[in-house]
Amino acid sequence: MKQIGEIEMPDLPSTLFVEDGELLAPIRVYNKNNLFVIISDVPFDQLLANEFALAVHEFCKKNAVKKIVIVSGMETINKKNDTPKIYGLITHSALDIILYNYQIPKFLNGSIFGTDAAIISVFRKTNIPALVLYAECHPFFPDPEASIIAIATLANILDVKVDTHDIKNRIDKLRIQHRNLMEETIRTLQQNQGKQTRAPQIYR
Amino acid sequence: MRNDNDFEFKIMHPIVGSLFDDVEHRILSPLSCLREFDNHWMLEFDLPLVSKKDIKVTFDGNIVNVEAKLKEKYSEEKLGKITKFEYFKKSISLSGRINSKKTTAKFQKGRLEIKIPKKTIGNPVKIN
Repeated sequence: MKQIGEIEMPDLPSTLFVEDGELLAPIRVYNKNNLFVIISDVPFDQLLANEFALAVHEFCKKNAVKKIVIVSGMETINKKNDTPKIYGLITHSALDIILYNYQIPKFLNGSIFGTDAAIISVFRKTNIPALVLYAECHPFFPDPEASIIAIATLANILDVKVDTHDIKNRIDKLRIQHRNLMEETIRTLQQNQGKQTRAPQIYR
Repeated sequence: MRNDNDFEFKIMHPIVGSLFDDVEHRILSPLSCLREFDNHWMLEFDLPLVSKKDIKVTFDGNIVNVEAKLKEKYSEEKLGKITKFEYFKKSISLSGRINSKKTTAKFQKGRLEIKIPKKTIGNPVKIN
C-alpha cells in the first residue's frame, strides 16, 4: 500500500520514526484501490480520542468511505480456550450480514472505553457504519496470537490476502521485542485513568 | 474493551516501569502482572522462548524471584551494541504475609502463573 498522508495530533508528544532513512509520522494513512488504512504506532491519550475520531470521520466523508473496520482487543486474562476468539460489534444493522457471512459472533454484553468508544460514538451518529472486531487477548502482555486471529479475520472481510506465517514463526521473539511498547501503553493508560489500569467504576 | 464475565478480582496491579534489562549479564526483565484476591495473590510472568524445565521460582521472605533460561539466545540492539540475551530474571515484592509452602505454579504458552496463598492472622473477637 502507498502512504498518502498522516494524521497530526498537536497535543501528542512530538514523535517521528526513521525507517531506512525515511521520516515517518506516528499516525499514517495508506491507500490501495478502494481501501484506506489508518495506522497508529503510538498509544495516545484517551482525552484526544474524540478529536481523533472526528478527524477520521472527516477523512471518511471526504473520501466517500462506505464502511470502517476497527481491530481491537478484548481483555481476557482468564482465557479458558486455547485459541483466542473474535467477536464483532456493529454500529448499523447494515453490517449484520458481514457477521453472518464470516460467522463472527456478536459481542453481546460488556463495556467499551477509550479510543474504541470514541470512534463508535462518532460513527453511530453518522451514515458511515463501523464494525469493530474484538480479539480475545491478554490485557498486559503482548499477544501476537490474538493479532494473527484479528488480521486473518480482517483479511477475509476485506477479501485481501495476508500471509501470517512470518508472524507465526516469530511469535516468541515478537513477545520479547514488544515488551517495552506494552509497558509504555499501560503507562499511558494509567496516566489517563488516574493511575487506574482498568476501566472506570460504573453503575451496572 | 472488557467482557464483564472476566471482572472477578479485587485489585489489579500491573508492574510497570521496571523493565531494566541487564546488558552486562545478558538478562532480560520479563513483563509481569499481579492480581490480588481475597485469600491469594496471582502473579503472572510473560516468558516466551522458555521451557518449563528451565524456570526457577524461589522465595526470599515476601519477595518472589523468577529466573528462566531462554531456549535460544535473543539478540537485541541496545545503545548501539547487539546483545545476545540468555535469561529472564525478575523479583516481585508482595505486601502482607504469604504462605510460600502452599504456592502453586502453572506454565502454559510461555506464561507462568503463580498462585500464592495469603496467611490469615488474627483471633476472632467475641461480641457480647
